[in-house]
Amino acid sequence: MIEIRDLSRTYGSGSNKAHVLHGIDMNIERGAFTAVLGKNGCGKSTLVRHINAILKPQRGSVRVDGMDTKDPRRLYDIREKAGIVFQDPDSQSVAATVEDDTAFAPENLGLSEDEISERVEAALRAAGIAELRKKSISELSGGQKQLTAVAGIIAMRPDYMIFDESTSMLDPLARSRVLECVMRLKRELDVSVIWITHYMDEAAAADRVVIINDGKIAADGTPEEVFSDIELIERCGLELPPCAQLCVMLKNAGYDVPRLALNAHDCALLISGMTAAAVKEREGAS
Amino acid sequence: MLRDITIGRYVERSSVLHSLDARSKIIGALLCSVLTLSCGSLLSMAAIAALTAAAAIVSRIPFNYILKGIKPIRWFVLFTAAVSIISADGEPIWQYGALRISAEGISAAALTSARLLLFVTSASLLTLTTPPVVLTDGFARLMRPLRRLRVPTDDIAMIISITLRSIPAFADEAERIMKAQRARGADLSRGGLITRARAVIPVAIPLFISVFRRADELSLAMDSRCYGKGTRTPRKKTHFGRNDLYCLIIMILFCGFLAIIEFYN
Ligand SMILES: Nc1ncnc2c1ncn2[C@@H]1O[C@H](COP(=O)(O)OP(=O)(O)OP(=O)(O)O)[C@@H](O)[C@H]1O
Ligand SMILES: [Mg+2]
Repeated sequence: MIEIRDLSRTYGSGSNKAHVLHGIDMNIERGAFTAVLGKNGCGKSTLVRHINAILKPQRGSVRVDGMDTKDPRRLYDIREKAGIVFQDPDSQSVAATVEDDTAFAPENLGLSEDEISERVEAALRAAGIAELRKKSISELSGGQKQLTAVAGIIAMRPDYMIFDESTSMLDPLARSRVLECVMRLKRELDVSVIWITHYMDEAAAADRVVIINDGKIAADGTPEEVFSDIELIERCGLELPPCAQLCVMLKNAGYDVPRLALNAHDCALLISGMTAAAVKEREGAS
Repeated sequence: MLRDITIGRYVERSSVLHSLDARSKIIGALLCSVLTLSCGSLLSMAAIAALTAAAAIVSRIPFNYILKGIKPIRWFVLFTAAVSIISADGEPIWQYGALRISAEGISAAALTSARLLLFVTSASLLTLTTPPVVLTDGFARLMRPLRRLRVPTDDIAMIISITLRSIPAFADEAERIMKAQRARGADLSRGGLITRARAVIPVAIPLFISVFRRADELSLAMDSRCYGKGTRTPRKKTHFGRNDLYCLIIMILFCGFLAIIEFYN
């Protein structure tokens, strides 16, 4: 479990002092898919960088499976447990080929040659890019580069994987590929996922949604709970997922929409239900 | 045109040059640079060029690939050649107003051009035939004796290899920004020297910002993957074999040969 207690952070000093995080309190349980939302510059990256001890708390504390990120002796144990995949596909690779790049973390951990090969093999297969093994990273597409970055983190055998807008520079097809891969990893390897995004449809697929606004947690709950408060969503500079927007539009047009649908499947169910009800009503009337 | 840069790119081939220990190749490339800088005669330069050409043939890298690597610096080579022709003293063999061309000028121009071309070609050959991870290990092992002086040799090796590897990405980025500025009406190919120098600023500033941002993100990505734990065990190590021994012997003989040429010139 990740325990964040009263976490605060400021950047700069004097008149340029900017309070980015104010007393954040939250737990992230093992095995969940947590989406983190918030408008640009609200402190999402700052928050997650505390989890793998890239940033140390100025006030408050962050613990990963009981290890305090301020404890220098546990620094690499924490980073091994919680890995981050970043945004830019072009600035995360250290080596020239997919295989060599995936080996970077196991090499840093000082593992034996056999163990490194085994982990690289498993990580490439888990990320679904085993056939790209020998490819030069500069020849890959953006989505393939991000999957390589995912494999590079999986090779550490982490319990938590953090994605800081990892799909924002990809085209829609590559974006859904990477998201599918991560969902599968979560199921198969039992890793917890923390997913920062500006795409509301991605957030709608999460187990839990956390909204950060003005350095505080503005909302925290299931997607159904969080997206039902439309006023709050707008106040935080966000919008509803496309399907939920459709439901709101139908409601405003006078239709009797019983609830918000968050994905296309649910939306189809809802609308066919509404149509069936309307047909039955008309038949009853005539 | 910028994306033709070959320094920092690796091309997989099965050749003797590819199979050599990275250390032999690093020493070879360094030696080539040092020799081109320290030798003053055209004959030595021809000898070094012959050796580099031999290495290029042995590497099995397509020849036009190596030529392409030289293309981006062609204006720079011509410019330095022109400067050395104009600034040389000596008996003019051709004169037009203040412009005087002497035999010394021509040989000085040939010398500086050869230096530049050989320098770039030998550095390209090193990275074209050595995967970056192996190159890093090679640098790290060459510097290992310095560890006793508490020099962070592994980090320095990592820096060198990432720098070499970033050159093509840097060139791609520069080209992208140039295209973007051109689309907004900037013209980088016209006007006098000052106009052109001024036109470079809108390219240089975004380029630096982008490079620093990327370097920052790369360092975070490396930290996230436990770089710095201090127990690093590189998977691909270089091995000093028989071919390396031959290579070293050739290099020593070659240095002796050049010393003789230089002595008699
Ligand atoms: N190193 C730094 N020095 C000074 N200010 C910083 C630094 N890093 C971030 N900030 C500021 O802190 C605020 C929060 O930044 P952060 O990157 O955490 O936001 P974010 O929610 O990830 O935004 P985005 O959606 O754009 O990625 C921003 O206003 C940013 O300008
Ligand atoms: Mg961010």
